[in-house]
Amino acid sequence: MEGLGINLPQLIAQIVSFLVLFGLLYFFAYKPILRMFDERSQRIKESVEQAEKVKEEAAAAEEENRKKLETAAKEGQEAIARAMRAGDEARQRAQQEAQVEAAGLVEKARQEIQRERDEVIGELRQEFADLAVAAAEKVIEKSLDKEAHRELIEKVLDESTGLDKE
Amino acid sequence: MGCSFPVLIVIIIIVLAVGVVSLLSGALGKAIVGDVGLPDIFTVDAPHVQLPAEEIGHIGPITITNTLIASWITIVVLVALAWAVTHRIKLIPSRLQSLLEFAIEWLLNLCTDVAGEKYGRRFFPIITTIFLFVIMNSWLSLVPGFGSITYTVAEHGEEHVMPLLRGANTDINFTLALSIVSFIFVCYFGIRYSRLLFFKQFFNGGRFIRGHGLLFRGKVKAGFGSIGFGIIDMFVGFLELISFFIRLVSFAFRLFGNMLGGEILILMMLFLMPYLLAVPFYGLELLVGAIQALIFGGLTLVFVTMAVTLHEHEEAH
Amino acid sequence: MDKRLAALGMLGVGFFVAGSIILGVVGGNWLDSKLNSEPLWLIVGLLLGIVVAFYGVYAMLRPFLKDKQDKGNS
Repeated sequence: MEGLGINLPQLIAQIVSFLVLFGLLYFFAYKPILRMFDERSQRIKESVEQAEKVKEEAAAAEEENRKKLETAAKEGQEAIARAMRAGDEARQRAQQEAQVEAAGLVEKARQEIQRERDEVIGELRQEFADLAVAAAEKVIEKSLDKEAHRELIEKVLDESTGLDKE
Repeated sequence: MGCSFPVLIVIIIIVLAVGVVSLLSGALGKAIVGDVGLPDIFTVDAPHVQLPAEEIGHIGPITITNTLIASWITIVVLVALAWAVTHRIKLIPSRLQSLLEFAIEWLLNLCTDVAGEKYGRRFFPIITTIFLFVIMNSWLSLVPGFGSITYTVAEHGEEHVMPLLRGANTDINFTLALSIVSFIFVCYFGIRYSRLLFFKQFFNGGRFIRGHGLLFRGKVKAGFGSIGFGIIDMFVGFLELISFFIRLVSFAFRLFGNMLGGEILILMMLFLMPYLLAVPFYGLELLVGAIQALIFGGLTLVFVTMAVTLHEHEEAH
Repeated sequence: MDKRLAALGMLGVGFFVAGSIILGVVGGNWLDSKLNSEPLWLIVGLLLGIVVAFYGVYAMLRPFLKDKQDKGNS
């Protein structure tokens, strides 16, 4: 033991110096550095989480935009379709109205023509009958019963097909 | 080669000159070519090996040795380094801070890898202090001029010339102090977390006593069997106890032997062939210092981990 | 136990063996000089040192041996 130089006071002095180093390093090195490690890892964790959150928010915003665009497009299409339908309807209605009016006009014109023709025919008949009666009177010099003659002439006319009443 | 041809030539000439001087001035050269009368400044004295640390003076009852002074210098250097970094510690580290952080993080990872998350952080301060103390002691003693500052003591009319500084690792008192700290540490955590199991690994008389109980109740065969195994248990516990204390001694002597050996090796090489031959051994000693620090810290970590996880082993059996 | 940890433990094996045997011899010698019973305790100390050395090496190797057994069983 003597040869190696072991002695108790030296041993104790070295143990004390180790403890002193331990204490000093504990307060000057381990505590602040470990705290810094924890803080750093905490910081990294936080920033990663934040980045994740931002990413999620961006994705949500994009989704919302997409939805909005979709609805807008749908609405536009609907508006266009509605307008087209309204236009069609208006056109159809106008057509119909025009048709009805045209048909009405034609009908009226036809009726007018018919009426004038009937009138003309009636007048012609009257005149013809009178002419015939006058001629006959002249021929026979005898006045026939005017009424009987007319009936006769009417009958003749009825038998002939060319000028029948409608 | 990263330098131009003339520079290379100059370097080769310098190396050759140093080689010739070192060969001629060293003991090896003198033995081969004889003394050519080089000035004394080139020669290195033969080292005299002294195991105990040299006494420098006394402060009260405490004897101050050169190894004690060296260990205080190590403490000052380490604390100054730590303070320089941590008094303005930043989240984004400076160069010095990243160096210290790298060392601390590496040791912290070692602790948590070996001892697990739960214990790793608790063991870390002691293990790291041991590691840093040992490695800094051995590296500081390699600093040029460390061993060449001398101190003269007049004692009994004789003058003793001794180095003022000597690596604390080469003092058995220091290594023994370190291993005592390490074993108190192991015992403390062993008792704290393993409770009675910690003592049971040394004094395992349970089966022996149970055997007597069985014998008393008339179960002769089981009783004798139990007593037999109980004696083996107690013997194994006794061996564990002895090896526990031998570990303490072997811790101290491993560090002491390796570091003193390295010191003597370098001095011897300087004596045999100054300048040139010692260079590779300086490199070797850097490595040896780091390895010894790792062994001391690592083995302490291993033993303390084993001491706190005794119950796990118990369950495994 | 961690394999690397056990490997680290193996780094200390040399000084452990030497230490246990030397301590046994020194202790035996010391007892002999006290009790004047040379060389009884020297031999006992040597034997004890050797037994402790082998036991310690076995204890350090145990994690590796157990691992091999586990592999053999599975």
